[in-house]
Amino acid sequence: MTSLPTLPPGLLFIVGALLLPLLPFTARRVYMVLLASAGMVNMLGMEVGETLTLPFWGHTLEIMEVDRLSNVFGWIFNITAFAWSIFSWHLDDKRETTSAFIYGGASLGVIYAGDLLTLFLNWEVMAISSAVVVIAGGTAKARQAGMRYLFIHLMGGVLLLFGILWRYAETGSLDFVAMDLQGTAQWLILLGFAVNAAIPPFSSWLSDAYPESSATGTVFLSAYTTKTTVYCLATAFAGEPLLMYAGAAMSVYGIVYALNENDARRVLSYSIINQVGFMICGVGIGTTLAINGVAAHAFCHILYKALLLMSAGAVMYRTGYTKCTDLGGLWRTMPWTLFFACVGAAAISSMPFTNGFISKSMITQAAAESHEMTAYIILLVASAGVALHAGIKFPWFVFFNNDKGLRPKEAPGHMLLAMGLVAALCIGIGVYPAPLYEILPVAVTADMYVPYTADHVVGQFQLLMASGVAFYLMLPFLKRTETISLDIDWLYRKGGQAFLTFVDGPLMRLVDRLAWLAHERVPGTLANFAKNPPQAVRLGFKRLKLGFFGVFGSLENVDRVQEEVRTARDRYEMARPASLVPVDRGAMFLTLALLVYLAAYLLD
Amino acid sequence: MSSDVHHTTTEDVNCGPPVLVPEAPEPPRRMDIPMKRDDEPPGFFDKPHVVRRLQIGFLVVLAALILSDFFLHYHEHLGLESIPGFYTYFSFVACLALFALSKTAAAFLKRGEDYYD
Repeated sequence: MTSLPTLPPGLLFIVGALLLPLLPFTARRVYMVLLASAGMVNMLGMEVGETLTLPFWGHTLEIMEVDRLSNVFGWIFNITAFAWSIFSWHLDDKRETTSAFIYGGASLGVIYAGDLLTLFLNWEVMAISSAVVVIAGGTAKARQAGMRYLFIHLMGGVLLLFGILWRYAETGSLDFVAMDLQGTAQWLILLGFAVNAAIPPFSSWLSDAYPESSATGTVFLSAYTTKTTVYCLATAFAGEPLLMYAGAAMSVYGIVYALNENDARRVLSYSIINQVGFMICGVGIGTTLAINGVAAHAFCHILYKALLLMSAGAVMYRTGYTKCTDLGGLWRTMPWTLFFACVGAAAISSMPFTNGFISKSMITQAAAESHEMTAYIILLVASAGVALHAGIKFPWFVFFNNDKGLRPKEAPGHMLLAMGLVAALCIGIGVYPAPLYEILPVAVTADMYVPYTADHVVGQFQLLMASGVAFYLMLPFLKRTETISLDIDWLYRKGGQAFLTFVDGPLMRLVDRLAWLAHERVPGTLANFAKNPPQAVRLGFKRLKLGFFGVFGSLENVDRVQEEVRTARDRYEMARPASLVPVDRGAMFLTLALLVYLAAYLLD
Repeated sequence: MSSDVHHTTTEDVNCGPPVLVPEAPEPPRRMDIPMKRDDEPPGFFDKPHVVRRLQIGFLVVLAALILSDFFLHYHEHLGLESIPGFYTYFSFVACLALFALSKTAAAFLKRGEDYYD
């Protein structure tokens, strides 16, 4: 196709990112755009079947193995990085930009990894660099959420590593291929994946950390971790029924939490969980159409989610607010941001002629064609709910609702440019899906799937508009309050506090007591004993005797034994204390003896 | 937090020198956001007749969509799709169910924003 040498896309970003902190601000932002562009040019040369191997301690690491599925993710990861570098043109934060590109590179490393060891190494780089992106949010809350985020992801990484090693011990192979969910090794790998895929109960890290990062950071974070894992699950566990139900449950879970949420960016974070639920469900269905749908939906989801978070980020950049209770009425002065938010909202609701429609409908269609009616109905309910929480709730509470009197300026030009770019892709792919359909794992033909039929379009419009009516009628119940909803993170957040209280109180008292025993009581007793061992034993015996007579003996006996104890103590104290015999003299004798021995040995 | 220095629990345990972690500053609140002026003319969506027309337009389109179901053939997955307006009713009921579910969840899970502080 091209004579350009292809580089591993992950390494391109990671090595490229290392130069970022050395550059001054102006050069850095130009370099960022160039680096992301280089990534896309490099993608042009990624031919299916190409591999790149590296010897490693008697193994051969496949650091790049190109297949059609990984190319779909490769393209969207590069496009997102490009749009993000434009969106963050104003961002003078070396920590965030550098770690973001390392994080994006590691995600690319995972999806192009041909073996489990390469996958794991990139997995860990992802965990750490993405945690830095969260922490770069700069607030105390961001730092704390970032540390919780890191803690959860390192736990997931350990599960994954155990699974990989266990599998290696059993099969002797590190190949990253489809697996049966049989045996502990595969379960551990699945659990490790589940953490990063944000499958409840391992999902709270996402809604906890993403909304705490900066206006730009959240946009970047939303694209990579969960979708990388969707790729991994689709490669390893396609057709696993458990995932189908987990995904369906996820899609409803995301909606329930998003509906109760006040922070606009947290609403969108819960909505990621909801959308990834659709993908995981598709992975569980596992047919050709379903996997195609998963790849297409991941591609499209990244675009419209980035667009939604960019609009929320632009609002945050201009006002400093993210909560629905603080915002409202921004349509007056931020009409372009509103417009792009609405494109994103339409796409996430999978309105016909946006990219969400041509991708999500493939997954629901696959569920119906596989006669998985439970999954189909849940996905249909969730589709109606998406329009409710992300499609209508987000734009409504941020841009309409009650006017709070805020009249911020329109988003800056570079943000509008980035949003315009992504919005154009959302609509372009929606109207003309053929280029996307061509690069899917199995190229979509007319007898596989046709998105635009009259019944699909009319049915989907009805679904969305009825959900709009429901939202309008339910508005009085949707009044935002300054509250949060408890999630699984309660366990480790409150649990952590309880643990600290325990350490502070009871545990420290116990440790103090033990320290007193070890440092004072026991050495003291031993020292007293060593002063005069025979008399110490005698005194101890007399004291025991006194105790015995104190309980069982007569008064005269007690007096007599008390006298004996007194005599014993006097004799104990009269003796020359052992401690007065200097140690140095003994040590000198010992040294001399050794010297004599040494001399005898040498002269022999 | 009144002081600008946060004392971690490490200090209370008294097993080492006190560790002082300076509280990171809150994100810059853009207190310079322009606010509404008194003489501001009403905007597009401020006019009641505009909102009224949008609402009517919305309902007209929805009605047209339901009516068009009489002339469309749906692929049956659930055996109910041929009922005209099926997706409208389905979606409406689904949304009410999701509202009920989220309100129920909120009753148990809602806490103040400072719950974890």
